[in-house]
Amino acid sequence: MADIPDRYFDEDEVHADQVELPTVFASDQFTAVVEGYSAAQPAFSSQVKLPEPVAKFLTQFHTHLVDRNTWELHAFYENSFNKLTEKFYSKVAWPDADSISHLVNDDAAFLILYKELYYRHLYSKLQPTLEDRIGSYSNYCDLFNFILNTSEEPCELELPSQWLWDIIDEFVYQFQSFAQYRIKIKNKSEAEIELLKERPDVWNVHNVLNVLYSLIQKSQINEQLVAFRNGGDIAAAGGELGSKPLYRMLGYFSLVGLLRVHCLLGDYALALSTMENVEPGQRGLFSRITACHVTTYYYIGFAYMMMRRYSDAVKMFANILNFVSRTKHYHSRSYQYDMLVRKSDQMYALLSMCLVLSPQKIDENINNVLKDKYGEHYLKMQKGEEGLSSFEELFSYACPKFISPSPPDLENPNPIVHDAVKHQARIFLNEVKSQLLVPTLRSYLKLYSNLPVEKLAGFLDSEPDDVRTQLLVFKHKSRQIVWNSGPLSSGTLVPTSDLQFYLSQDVIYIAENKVGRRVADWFIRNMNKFEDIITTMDKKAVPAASS
Amino acid sequence: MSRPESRPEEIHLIVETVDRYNPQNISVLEEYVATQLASNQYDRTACLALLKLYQFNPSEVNLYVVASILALALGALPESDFTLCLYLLREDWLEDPLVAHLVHMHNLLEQTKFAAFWRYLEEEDAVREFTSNDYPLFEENVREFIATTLGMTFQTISIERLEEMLDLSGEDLGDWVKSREGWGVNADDDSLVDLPVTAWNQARSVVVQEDIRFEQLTKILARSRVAQ
Repeated sequence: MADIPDRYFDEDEVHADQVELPTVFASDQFTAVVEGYSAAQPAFSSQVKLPEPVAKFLTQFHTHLVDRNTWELHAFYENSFNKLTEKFYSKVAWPDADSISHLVNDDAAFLILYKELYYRHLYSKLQPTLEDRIGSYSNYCDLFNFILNTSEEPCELELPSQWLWDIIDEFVYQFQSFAQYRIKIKNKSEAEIELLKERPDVWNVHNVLNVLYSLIQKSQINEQLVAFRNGGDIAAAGGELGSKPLYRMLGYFSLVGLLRVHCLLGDYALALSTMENVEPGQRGLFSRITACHVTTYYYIGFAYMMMRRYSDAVKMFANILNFVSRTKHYHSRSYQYDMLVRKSDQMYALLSMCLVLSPQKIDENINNVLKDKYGEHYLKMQKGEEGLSSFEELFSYACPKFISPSPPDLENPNPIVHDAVKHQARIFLNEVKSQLLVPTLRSYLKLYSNLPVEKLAGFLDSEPDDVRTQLLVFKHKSRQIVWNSGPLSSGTLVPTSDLQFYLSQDVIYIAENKVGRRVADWFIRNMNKFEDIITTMDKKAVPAASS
Repeated sequence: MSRPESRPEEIHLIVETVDRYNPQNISVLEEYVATQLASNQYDRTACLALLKLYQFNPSEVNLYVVASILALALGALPESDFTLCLYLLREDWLEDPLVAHLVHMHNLLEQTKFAAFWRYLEEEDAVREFTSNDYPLFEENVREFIATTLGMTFQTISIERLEEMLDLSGEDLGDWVKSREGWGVNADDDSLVDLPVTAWNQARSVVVQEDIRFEQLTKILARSRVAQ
């Protein structure tokens, strides 16, 4: 139970121990070996024997796995593997499993894990062939069978949480990648089409869902989360399997994986209900894996946005962007840094769209970064028709890579192809279109406390009837479901605009909400900062005095 | 989403479990859609589950049922259910005439072009026939959405405008106004209708004060105890 935090952290405070630090192992013994190896060595052909550091790495890696030395495994996984990749395999695949099998006593479990790394590396550096895609899929089946079907006995494997997250994340990514590959029938050879026909099971949506649902069910992660929320015994709730870190983490990551799959398929309601036992903003147990934490917020925020719950989406994005901006320096040397930067950038783009659709105050720091990155877009999006192209641009940059779950008709050389990305974009933009004039209307209303409809129509160069319709649109669109407490999908319909108005016959009466000065927040933050300084000084003072 | 009271156990066991992916349940869920239309008891989760089965098994799609679901979702405005349904459809399904009609009517309602909505319904026999046969309370549900939207926007409105937006006139309109709580003909001018004043249709400037949650203070409190 040691890994369960006994307290909740202030939202504003981020502690180093909340973040899985990928760089703490930088100076493990292995680094020296890698760096000592001359880079001037001629390029080896894959048939030739392995470079010595690689062979040594693999045997030691295997030993740590057998000894269940999670700490060392973590270092090997996060650092050594990436360093060797940079050195030897930046443009070619790692050696295939057969050629290294003798180094690890033909250990089947290790070879499955090795292949997972092998394919993941291949996907990220090279262009996977159809055979690679099938090979990787089969390997994931082996891996999950090994974990899920070990005849009632729990699997004794112990892996670092980061690795487990990467496995689920990659599994969903490769599923998505396959769906995108499959849809492009035209540039496939006949042999490839034949192979696709023979293997309808490969990356089939049902099989992928089955894996994720099975991991969730076996780990009893939902039961554990309920127990966690109610202060109950999560180990008891998890049962024999779920109380083991391997299953608990895989179960949780599968919830996030499922959230993502549902979003990729455009099923936002189901995406949110998948997370019904996860509380947003709850730090601790699962937020340590930053990539998982960020992914969770990205997809929840995105689902909210597509459900027209802009206010909730803004809260999600602002919250996680705040977290990222304060912890980014921990990750600057991590292999995940690029992903973190890109996802943040995408979320700033989504956030700026949400703020145009539902203006509200956000954290000042986030607002400044937003203005820096997307200031121009932000202004343009408020200019009616002419801003539509900015919405389009930001959406296609920041949206998930939507997919169609069903394969195209392989018998037909020119099948009807459903373009999932276009479809989602079209619906979103249609929604945007229906409220294009709201920002303009808003800018005029803000200037008055009462205003005849006729006069406003004059400003807008429009007819009074159309203006009345636009006022109704304003009201209709600013009514949103807003989350209060409980499951993420719950909430109540409330007016979200800080600009209030009503019509009495043909006159508009207007009032604007004002925000009082926020002082308490500032004081609390500085008191905490001050206390931290004192604590640090106290710690430093003791050894100095005694020496 | 919580379970609607009207949902039978049999349906519940499908939509709340992985059985929702089983294509053999398509026919049961299709029948349930017809029941929802007839009894005006909308079950969003069940509708979306059926659309998902179509999404996974496009050859099984029944576009008449798709249109029925869209009609139910239209009746559920201001909730964004209609949009949620659209996300799950394939583009080529939108070419179905009945589906296309409903998409168009949805656009009109989202743009609050209420008078245009009623005109469209009047002109398109196919839709009117479909709703009057299968979904008797369709018009009433849409009218309810329009009424709440008007209620958020107006404190008084002319009867003429109300007639146009609600597609009611004369005695029908009078009865309808009487049936709504707080609505009534203006005492001084009988060409106007007064709407109840609620939190939605007022213009009172509010100063938003910051709230301090107890949790924000836990750290400070913890430290003050250590200090003693």
